[in-house]
Amino acid sequence: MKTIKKQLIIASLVITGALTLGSCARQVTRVNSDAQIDISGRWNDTDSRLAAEELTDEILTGNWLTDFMQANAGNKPVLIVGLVRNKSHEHIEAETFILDIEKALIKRQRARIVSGGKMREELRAERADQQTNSATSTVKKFGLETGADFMLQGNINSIVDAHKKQKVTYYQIDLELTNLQTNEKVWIGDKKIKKFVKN
Amino acid sequence: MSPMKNKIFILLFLTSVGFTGIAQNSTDLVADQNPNYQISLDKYMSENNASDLTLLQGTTAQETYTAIDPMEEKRKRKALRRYYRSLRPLWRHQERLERAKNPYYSNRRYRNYNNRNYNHYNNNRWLNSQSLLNLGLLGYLIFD
Repeated sequence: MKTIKKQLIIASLVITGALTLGSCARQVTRVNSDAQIDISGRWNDTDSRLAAEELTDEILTGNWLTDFMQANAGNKPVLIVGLVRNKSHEHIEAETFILDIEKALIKRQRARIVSGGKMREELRAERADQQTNSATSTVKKFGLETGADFMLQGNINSIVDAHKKQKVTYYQIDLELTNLQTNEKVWIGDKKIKKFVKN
Repeated sequence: MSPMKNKIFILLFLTSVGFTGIAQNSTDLVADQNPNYQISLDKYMSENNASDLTLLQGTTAQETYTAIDPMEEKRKRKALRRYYRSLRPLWRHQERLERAKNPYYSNRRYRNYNNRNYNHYNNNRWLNSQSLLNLGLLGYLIFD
């Protein structure tokens, strides 16, 4: 009788231990990158995707494209991406949706994009390196870069209204396309996202 | 060659140089271009100015602000409290080490400034924990 009791106690301890360990183990599952998963209510990949989709659609259907092509014998406009200012209350990286827009413009062959910022500096450094290290027939020349016609700049703003356990967060992403010669804004696109979070 | 002819040649040469200069200037300017554009060009062509502005292209300037959110503030306070609590064993350990180094080290953190019960000269409160304990003991001895 005593041995059965002992065995029962040991078995129950083992089961309890296994359950405890099992509940602590982290579970990771792969999900579709388009899946909408909201955890904290902060800016996330879904917001970035929604912004990219809407802004891409707006920029591709804007009149600026046809206007430019008509004025320049059907030539495609050349774009450069400028600075995006995040003036919201959260850390938001605009690259996540700006690159999607660039990709769509290149993929649909509606505009040409030139590199800017640190990437351009890196390219120039490589070109400079070629001047002394590459075979003369393969050396790329300085002073033949394509000048951009337009610069894409933007702002991210947010408004937070919180009381007790409820919160409304509003994000507004504004992108502007400006003519580099005339400083004329030829296109302005925006994406507004409003979230209601209940804790 | 007479000096008069020489003078005429020099005058003609200078005039032609002047005209060439004017012509050069006029070809630089396109229609409706501001003739003072060079001032602005010089300003933005200066090395520091240009690189500072263009290096940030394609990036996001984080100019964030702190929103008024009571729940978030509460969460932050809680996290800070937890962090300090996690540091407490380390502080205690450091205190012990200091005490071990110096035997006369006085630990001011544990000094009880309010407990003046043992100081009979300044004991104004007659009904305190000590007196209650004494009374209790007395009662126990009397009534037991």
